[in-house]
Amino acid sequence: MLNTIYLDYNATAPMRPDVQDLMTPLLGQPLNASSVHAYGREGKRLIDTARRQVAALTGADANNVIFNSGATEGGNTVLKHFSAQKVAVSAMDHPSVRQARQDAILLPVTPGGEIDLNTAEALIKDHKPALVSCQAVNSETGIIQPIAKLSQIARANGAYFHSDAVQAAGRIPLNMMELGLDFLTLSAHKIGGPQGVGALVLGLCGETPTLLDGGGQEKKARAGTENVAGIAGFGLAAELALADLSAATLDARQALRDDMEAQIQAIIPNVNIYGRDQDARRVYNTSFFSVPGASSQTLLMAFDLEGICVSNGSACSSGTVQPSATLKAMGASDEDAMAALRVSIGWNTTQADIDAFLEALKKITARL
Amino acid sequence: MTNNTPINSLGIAKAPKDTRVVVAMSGGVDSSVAAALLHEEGYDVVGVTLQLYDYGAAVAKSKTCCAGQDIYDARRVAEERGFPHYVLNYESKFRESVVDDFADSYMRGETPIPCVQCNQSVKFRDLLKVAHDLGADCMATGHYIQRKETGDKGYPELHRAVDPFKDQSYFLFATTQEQLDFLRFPLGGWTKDITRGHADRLGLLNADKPDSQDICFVPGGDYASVVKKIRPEAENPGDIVDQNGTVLGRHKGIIHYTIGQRRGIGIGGGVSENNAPFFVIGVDAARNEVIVGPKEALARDVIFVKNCNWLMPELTEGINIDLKFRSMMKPVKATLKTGADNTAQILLADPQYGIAPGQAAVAYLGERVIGGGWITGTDNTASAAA
Repeated sequence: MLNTIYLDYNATAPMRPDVQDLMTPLLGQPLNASSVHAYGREGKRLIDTARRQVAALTGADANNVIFNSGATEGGNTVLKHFSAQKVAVSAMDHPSVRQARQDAILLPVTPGGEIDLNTAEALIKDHKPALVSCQAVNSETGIIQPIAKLSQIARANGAYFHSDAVQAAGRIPLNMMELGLDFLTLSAHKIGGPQGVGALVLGLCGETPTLLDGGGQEKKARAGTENVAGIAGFGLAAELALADLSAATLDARQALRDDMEAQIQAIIPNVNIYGRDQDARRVYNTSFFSVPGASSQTLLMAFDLEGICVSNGSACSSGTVQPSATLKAMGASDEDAMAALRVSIGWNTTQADIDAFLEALKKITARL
Repeated sequence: MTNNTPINSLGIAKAPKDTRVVVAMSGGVDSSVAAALLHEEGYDVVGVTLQLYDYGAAVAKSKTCCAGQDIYDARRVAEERGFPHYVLNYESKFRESVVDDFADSYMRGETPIPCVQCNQSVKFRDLLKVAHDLGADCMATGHYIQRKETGDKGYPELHRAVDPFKDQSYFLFATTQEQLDFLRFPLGGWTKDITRGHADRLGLLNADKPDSQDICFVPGGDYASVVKKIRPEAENPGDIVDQNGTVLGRHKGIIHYTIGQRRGIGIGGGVSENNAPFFVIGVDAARNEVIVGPKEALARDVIFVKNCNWLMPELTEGINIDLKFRSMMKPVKATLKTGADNTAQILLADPQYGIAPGQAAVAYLGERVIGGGWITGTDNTASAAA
């Protein structure tokens, strides 16, 4: 379709060809998994397969995977389940979590882009929330959050723990038991599956948050006829994402990113590359940096006119650009927060894509 | 580029396809036609629409997201014609550069013209920088005004639009020479009919959209409620006094009064004891007083202006000009004396009435706009009554 280079995997990843091949014929079939007939049984089989695939990606029991429309629904379902009680959320969490409970206690972030565990512990001890929520990986910086430690703190203070793992899936190992998670939420489209599908995965606690009532789908946990083709695609994407966690794949992609960052630094000597400069643990695929004196809005337009799709990490639904919420939580200046650019790579990124990006970066920064 | 490349219709020695032009698109028919025509001519058109204020909040509908109908219309035109279009979020810039100043100006007892500030700041300063940063060769708008290269002078001039009913020169006096070098106004030589004709021919979806009349962030023209939101003290009631300081009545906030105003002053009958109608002849913000008097008391023959912008390097002292101190008036004869720190004094050939501080005084030489300044005060040398 468009003659473009796509480097915005954290916004949405291109669908894997295998997923597309699996889903395309399914879209034409009347697959209502609640039906008794052959199509119904086929639908059920596809969903159950996907359930096992998503369970494997998250180290969960397949019975604890509830399919839904994505992580926004997942986050709302969990956060609103505790609506009568206090909740605490990371100040960097996705709006689908922060906006779901605007009265939440905000857990602050260190200038290094991690949740501030000491302050978080003090706040949790002080306020005794029923639920603590923190993303596993930040969508803007790619910085891996210390959720195993935070979930321990939560548990020690009698709180359940939710993690939005949308940006972590397929990039770091996710084991709900080891991480001590009660709830984990996912979106299929971030890992090469379809948009509009996701899952809420239940961990240790035995609670089943429910947002929608209606038919008894998903063991009454999520009413509404299942998006069978989408769920099947999600399952396969989860399987492929799990396979991506092999050391060789991760190393190769990380080398691509690290090499790109060295080149960015060569083009813009005074660039701030978030996470790298603070020695934070980051996922392999994300590079987030500020171009001093530039404006994200203009940079994004300029790259688009060069046929290169990048982001600043926090575009509003209307397509306008907001200052980076994460950078503001990290205490960055407004100027830096307005000058941020995010490059996020994935399963289909090549060295040629990176080279084209760097070429455009040279051209664009030269005229600033 | 070789030197043999002919000058294109935008005055640039490049083929249209190699000429990037950023078009400021409001979503209205004028800028849509400007963009669509340049695209039709083969230019590398990039449409940009500014989101200047929260449309939802402005019309008091909560929970509507961000973009209003105008942004949507601009995007649709770009999609249908097939050129890229972007929305720039300038809400905070607009608030700082235009809206706050609009409110402050009223609080000083002035009558502001926010459209000039907007052209001067967000459009021709900030958006123009974006156009530069995008590697554009020029920026075009749908304004009715003409940029003329008159040959040997080495700089372009600003001239009134051909269509006197659409002429926007008054609102563009603050355009600097540097900005003018980079700007293009494809519609300035046309009447609105021609623009509408092109809109029909091109099948633009907004071809029949009516012209906007209001200040964009003041839907329905209710500027008082906008000012009140920003400066709640704007509706502090105070006294209405005559020239001698005699209290004639009460007013409901100085924002409701502008110099020269006759209607709605709110004192019994609106006439003096000898039956002459009252006019607002002054607004004293410090004392929160509205001063009224007969029409003669409005007569002024000197205007003081500040923050002047001149589009004429060879401006001579005491030059005779045609002057407008309101957008819709016929120009009057005057003499211009520039002063220190970008100020100037304008001596009117005949006394004029209802000159309001906060408005612009814009100087013309016939059809040419040579600049202007912001009115700070007035004087009447012919009468001691002032």
